[in-house]
Amino acid sequence: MRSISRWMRRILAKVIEFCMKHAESLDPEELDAWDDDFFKMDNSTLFDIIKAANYLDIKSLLDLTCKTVANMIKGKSPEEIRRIFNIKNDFTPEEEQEVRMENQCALEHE
Amino acid sequence: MVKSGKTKKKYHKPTKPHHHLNPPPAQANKPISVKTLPAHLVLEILYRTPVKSLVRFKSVSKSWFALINHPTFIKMHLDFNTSKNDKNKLICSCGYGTFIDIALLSLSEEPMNVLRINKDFTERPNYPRKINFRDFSKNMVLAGSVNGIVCLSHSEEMSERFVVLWNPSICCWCPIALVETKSWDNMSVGIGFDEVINDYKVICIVPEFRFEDYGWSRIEVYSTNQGSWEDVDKKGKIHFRPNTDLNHCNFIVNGVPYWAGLDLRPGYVDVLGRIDPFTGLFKKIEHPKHVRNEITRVNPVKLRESVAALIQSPGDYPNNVIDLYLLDENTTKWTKMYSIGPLVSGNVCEEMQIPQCFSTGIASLLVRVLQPRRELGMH
Repeated sequence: MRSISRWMRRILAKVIEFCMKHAESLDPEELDAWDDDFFKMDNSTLFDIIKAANYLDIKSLLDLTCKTVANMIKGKSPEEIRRIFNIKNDFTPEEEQEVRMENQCALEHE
Repeated sequence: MVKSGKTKKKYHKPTKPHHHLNPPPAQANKPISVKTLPAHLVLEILYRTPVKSLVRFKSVSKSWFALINHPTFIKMHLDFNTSKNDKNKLICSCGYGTFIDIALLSLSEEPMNVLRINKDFTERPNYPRKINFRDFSKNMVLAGSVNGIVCLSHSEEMSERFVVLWNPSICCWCPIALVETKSWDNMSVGIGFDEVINDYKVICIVPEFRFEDYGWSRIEVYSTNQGSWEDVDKKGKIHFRPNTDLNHCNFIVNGVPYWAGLDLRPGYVDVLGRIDPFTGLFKKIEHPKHVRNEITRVNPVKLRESVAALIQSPGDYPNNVIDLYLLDENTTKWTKMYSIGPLVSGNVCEEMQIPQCFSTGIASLLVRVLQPRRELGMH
């Protein structure tokens, strides 16, 4: 007999919590405030929710969670991005420097 | 619904009945887990990330570099972030005296100032860096914008003349030098987007200056991708003279710039001209057929994503009505949609300025006679 892991149970509980709240309340302001609170979770859980929302095809949850992550990453350095998304840096230091120089104008205005 | 195609290695391990079926692999080994998101979900996050950050993220890895530079991603990001509401804004150049403000105007919000140009300043302490040519602040004219890329140009004669492409979202300036061996006097600047090769083109119509060539103009097209002016031979001369009160195209519809001007053959006929960004070819569009009286005026405008013509006081006698026509860009035929008016009771509005249309379909007509500004709702 299959059992749902504790981890999966936790994610599903969050998803269900979100769906129930958005089903029972129609006030956009109240929902916004509730959502702000809801999404105060670690990156790991955020990513899990994105995957769950995608699998379960819950568009509003996917949209909001992706937006939350986008807002969280927008001020970050490339190194922090690599850590968050578990990406290996395959640039040589010279190549990376070249890319940074090319995009100097955007870097200057953060 | 898009499913990720990842298989997890632990499915191949023998499992005891009481084991959890899908433990996240990282958690099994490390206390601080870093999850890997499948690529299509990373995209969902990046579509919602502002452009400035995306430019910085190009140095994350080679695959991110390739992704963010890819025209398909750029287009998807643009489409994702361009909602109906965004098109409510009109970027325009306004102001008198020392300052020119480039601002976003919208019906629902306060005007949002994007850039203030001080005409008297030769030093530019507050301007974004990477501007390395003199006098850009004086007499800058806003030529238009496509997909958020703005084109600015000089309006008066100078020893060195430039056109600038400006991307406000990443504050990036790209000055374009004009070919020195040619004359650029009285040029009219436009910007277009070549969908075929994904290229922003700066298109200039330069009236011929010699008396014997009066009525002719030449076309110059600059390709942003190539970083150079295209080689335009004799075919680049057109029998069209853009209205010189504007130094730029009248509007841009679907990435194609349009100019109001004169076709001096056979007589002085007001026409609309368009230049296709892909081919560089000019096409003359005649005004809709209508009955004229002494104060009739035809104003070509942009209405939503179409070209429209507002004809003031059509008919045999002066009146307060405005007829609206829409252009079919493929057949270049006009269709009359409806008449608006009579506008103002009593006096005929002779001093009506060129109307501007927001892309939601609301036309704003500046009427000097009775009120400073008057707006009409249109469907």
